[in-house]
Amino acid sequence: MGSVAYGLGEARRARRGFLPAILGAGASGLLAACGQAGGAAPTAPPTKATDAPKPAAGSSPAAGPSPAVVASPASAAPAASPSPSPLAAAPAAAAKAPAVSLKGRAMTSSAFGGDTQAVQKRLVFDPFDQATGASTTLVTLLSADALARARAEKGNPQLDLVQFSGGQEKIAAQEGITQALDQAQIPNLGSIVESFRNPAGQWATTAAIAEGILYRTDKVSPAPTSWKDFWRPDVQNHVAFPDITNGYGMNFLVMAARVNGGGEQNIDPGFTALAEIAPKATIFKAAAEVAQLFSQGDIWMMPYDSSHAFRVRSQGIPVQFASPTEGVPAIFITASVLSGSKNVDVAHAAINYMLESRVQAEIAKDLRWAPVVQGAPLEPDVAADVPSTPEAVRRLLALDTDAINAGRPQWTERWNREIARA
Amino acid sequence: MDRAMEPRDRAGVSPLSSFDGGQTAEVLDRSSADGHQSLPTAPPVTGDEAGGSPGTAWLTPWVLMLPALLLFFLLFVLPQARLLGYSFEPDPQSAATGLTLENYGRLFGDMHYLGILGRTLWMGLLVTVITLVLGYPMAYWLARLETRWKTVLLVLTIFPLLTSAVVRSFGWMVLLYRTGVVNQSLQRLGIVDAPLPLMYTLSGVVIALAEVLMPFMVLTLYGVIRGIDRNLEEAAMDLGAGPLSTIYRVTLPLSAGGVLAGSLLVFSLAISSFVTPSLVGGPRVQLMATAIQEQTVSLLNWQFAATLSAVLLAVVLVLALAYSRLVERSGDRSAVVPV
Repeated sequence: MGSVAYGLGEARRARRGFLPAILGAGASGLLAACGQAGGAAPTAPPTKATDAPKPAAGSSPAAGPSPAVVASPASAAPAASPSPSPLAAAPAAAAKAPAVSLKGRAMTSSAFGGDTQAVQKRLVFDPFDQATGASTTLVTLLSADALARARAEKGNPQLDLVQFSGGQEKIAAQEGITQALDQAQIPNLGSIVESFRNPAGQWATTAAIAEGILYRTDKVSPAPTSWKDFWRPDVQNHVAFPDITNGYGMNFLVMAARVNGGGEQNIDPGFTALAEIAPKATIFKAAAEVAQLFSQGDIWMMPYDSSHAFRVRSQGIPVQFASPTEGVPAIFITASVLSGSKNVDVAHAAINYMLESRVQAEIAKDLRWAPVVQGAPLEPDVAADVPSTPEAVRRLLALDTDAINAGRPQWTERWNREIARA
Repeated sequence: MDRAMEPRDRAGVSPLSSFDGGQTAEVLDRSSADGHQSLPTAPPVTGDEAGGSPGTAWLTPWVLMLPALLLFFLLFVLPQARLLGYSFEPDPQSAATGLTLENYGRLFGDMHYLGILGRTLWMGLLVTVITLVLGYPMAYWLARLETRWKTVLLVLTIFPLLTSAVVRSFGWMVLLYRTGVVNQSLQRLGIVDAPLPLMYTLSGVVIALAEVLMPFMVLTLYGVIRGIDRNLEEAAMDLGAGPLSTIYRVTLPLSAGGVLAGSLLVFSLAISSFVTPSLVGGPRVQLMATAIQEQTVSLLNWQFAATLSAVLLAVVLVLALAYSRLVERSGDRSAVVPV
């Protein structure tokens, strides 16, 4: 997968150097054309739309299941305006009214593959397409791959919308790979819980995933309550943890540092601590291995997310999720719009759709991703699995992704030498 | 690969000769010369006799090859050149500009990366030897088989290639886990007391890769062995050689080209394969391909990734050159045998 992304980049760069004038002119011409077609409209009715989220945020707890009510004031205004603007699409999508404005339009988004992608397709992209008439293509790209590809295609991306789960949205925004969101086109941005919001509006957080401890209820007793439980003698030989190239593995390293007197700025204690348990632990790379490792019976405990606890449990393996007292690193799923995208309006509408409280609740139910908007109507068993109460949300730790990204090259090298040794 | 599968009518012919550009050009030359005649009734003549207009005749094959050459240049030569260029650029995190050798210095001055290179070559060697030892008897048997099931058996040999390497690697993961089928069988049979560490180890990678790459070896050998005249073996037996002696002194030397071709094919595929080492080996088995992927995708250090790629490419190139030398020599030797 990686090599494909790399190859594309190579070809693109080579081509850019080879035929700069022709391609440059072609691309900018296309961009200009699209800008005229879709770009003009959004400037027209922003004032009304920005008003809309206010009642939405306030009234949503009561009006949970029917976001249509919330969205209607916003959709009424642009619908009345003479030109069917892309702005109308988002609220219309929520109202399940067939919106004409995105008919025949296409959009390409990244998704994370596997179950996650299937659920996102079923609960977000398919209904979005149905409601707006747009057609969305999903490309499977894990965060790191997505960043590599977006970087390779910078300025002329094949993707319009990109989803990250490892903090890559910051790098992408810094490098100008993604563009600032037009808040007016995403009224639902306003209903995102304050602490999950990106103040600069570079990206939208669409879900939060808590990383805690997954453990076999029949093997590990007493139940783990702290990150330090990974060093308990009775679980040695039965511990697994993800590689540093997996976001959860990186966070585990940081938490190991944190509970041993270090942190993002002082990672040494983390390495020392992990080197202690690493020789007897299983290190794995892919999320797909989580269920397999548990089902083999050999692994009793690993750091991962509640989403996987739920998934492994539904396969009949007694696995429970524990939130360590020292804090629960939260992984934020974000959506960004790529610079140079030709379908900026469709991508914005899709992000807005993701943030509908009804959609958020459905995602929470099927993926155990925590909703990021206020008042998503959660069923009790779902609410028990995801951090949904204000206290639970407060226990979520937002790790310093800037420091992590800065340390990544050195830490990865050191990890390969000291932790992932054969 | 498919060309390597073609049965060879003469033993000891270098399998690489079918890749030979010169031969292709010759064929093109001939057909284009036919075209120049523009006489449908004219008997087929070879290019040398046809002549055509001598001034531009040399141009025709080049014109015909132009699309392929252009594609080759755009999709292979340019990217490779760019890749090589990257490897001389400084680390993206440093402020330095211009060309530098620091990436190569970092690779060759560090036991960690030299270890990765060494482990990769060792892994490739093991996979090659295993596929050769297991594949040769199978290829020999297939080539000498005279039943209508032969086609079925050949298709069965190719069958694994129709399944994605990802799927097969996941299959191997299930088999190789500590409580997987392999370990359980070994324990039940009393061969081992404790489960062998197969998953996330180099041994597991070698086992899985040997299975994944086996068809390439078998099919290459099959083509060559089938091209060996059976009379030669029978003559050897008539002259008093035993079956083993016949294979060792007649069949094996005659199929040396196939052995070398298959080995080179499997070796280069093994050391450059990514999916199986990544899935079965996990983070602990660090090989060139996984290191390149990590540098490219996780660390976005394309410069160092390019350096690793260039070194891997150089190793394959050196081996390929040494190989063609060997084949030429073995070709000389087999030419002594009158066919």
